[in-house]
Amino acid sequence: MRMAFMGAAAASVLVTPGCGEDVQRNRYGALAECVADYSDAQCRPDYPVGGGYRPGMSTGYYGPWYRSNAAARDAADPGPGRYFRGGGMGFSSGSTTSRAPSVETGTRGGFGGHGVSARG
Amino acid sequence: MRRERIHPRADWRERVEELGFDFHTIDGEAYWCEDACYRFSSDEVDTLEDATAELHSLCLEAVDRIVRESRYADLGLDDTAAHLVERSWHAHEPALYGRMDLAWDGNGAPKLLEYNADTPTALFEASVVQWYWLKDAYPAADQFNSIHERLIERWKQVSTTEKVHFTASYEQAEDRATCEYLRDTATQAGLDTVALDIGDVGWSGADFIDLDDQVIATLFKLYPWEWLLSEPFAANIPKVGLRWIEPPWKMLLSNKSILPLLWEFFPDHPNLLPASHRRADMAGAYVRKPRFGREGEGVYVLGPGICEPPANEPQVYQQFHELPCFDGRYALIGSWVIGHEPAGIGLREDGDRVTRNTSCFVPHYFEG
Repeated sequence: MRMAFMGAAAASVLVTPGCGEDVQRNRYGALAECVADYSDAQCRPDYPVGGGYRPGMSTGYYGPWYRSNAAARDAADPGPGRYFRGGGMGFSSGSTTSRAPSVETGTRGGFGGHGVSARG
Repeated sequence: MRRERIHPRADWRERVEELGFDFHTIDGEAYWCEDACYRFSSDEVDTLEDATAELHSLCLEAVDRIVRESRYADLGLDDTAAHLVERSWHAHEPALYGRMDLAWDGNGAPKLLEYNADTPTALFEASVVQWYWLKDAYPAADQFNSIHERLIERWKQVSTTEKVHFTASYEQAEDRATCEYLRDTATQAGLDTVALDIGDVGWSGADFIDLDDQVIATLFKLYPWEWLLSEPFAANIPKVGLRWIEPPWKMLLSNKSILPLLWEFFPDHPNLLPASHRRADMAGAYVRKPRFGREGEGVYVLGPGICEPPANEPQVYQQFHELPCFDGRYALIGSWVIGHEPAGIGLREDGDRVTRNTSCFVPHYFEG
């Protein structure tokens, strides 16, 4: 199953129990902080939902979505990033700051459970 | 109306695959069958077109009456579904397409068996594949088929946003083909389109969103309303102002329980068959259909003295009306409605009296 990417600018995303699989992502104040946790390609600016991104417009950066349940993560899951994997003791490379990223949560997979053709 | 045995094009497989038709054979059995075709007269096409227009008009009247009289319980719909239906009906949210299944042998009045008003398929083969077959096999003849042109025109009317998202179970070949074909017609109508597997639709806490975090403003879904409303994201549907295609009011027509209501509202109409939720109301042979059945699933032809199989969901009973049988093949006419206009037909045939998902699609033509 593909990993969904959700809610770039949803400042407060609530998880409704039972509404699909819980996922989360880290929000960083600067691109360097995100890249220190993931790769450049996995980091994206926070821009308004429904609008286009312009350079300088971003107020932060997001890492990729990963499953909240660590036991459910497979090889394709990017995981929580180096910061949290290191026990929250600072970035393991690159960055000069150890400010903890915030975590936003969301859901995916709330539709599509029937798994059969809709032919009618 | 008659069935003609013909020679398939020598390279038919390559010809249909060039069009992107990759499910011409299902589970090793031919689904696209061009070793036969159906021939109609122009008068017969007129009869089908008139019957389709009449039936669609009756259906719209029935929707209005169901909403005015809150007859949702007759269709097994809960308050959430009723709210969505009413909101979309009162807002005049436009419909894109639907397919009526008609029983007709060229004589008398065509009879409505059911209306696939929410997620009709067999669209690409009706709109495109049989059209190219006609150009190869009967270039001087005509076909009751303006589906493609009408879809493009209809998209210009149904979408209020420049971007339309399309979702379906993309791992299902027929669903993918139908959804991608409709997406192509929307693109030809000048719309910006995004494809999205139904499982990838996300919820941000305020909106449904796509894989690029964009809010979904208009969503074509090849996914039945009764499934959407039974899944975890159902509670979010009433919270958003998303434009759904098909709109929620279409769930009244795709529900088999519309058949008894149509018969109640328009008794003895020549294009309708007697139908009821009670078996006792049926005289002689009848067909039992599950309220939310798809493609012949759970459909039984029954009658006096025949033991009725057990059922664990509500059933609809409809007077049995034999499909015409040619060369041992029972033929069903799928009559397409684009917007509110009849737009063409596609024929399915089977050795059994019940048309199923594996029943062959057979092309047609007519001569004036």
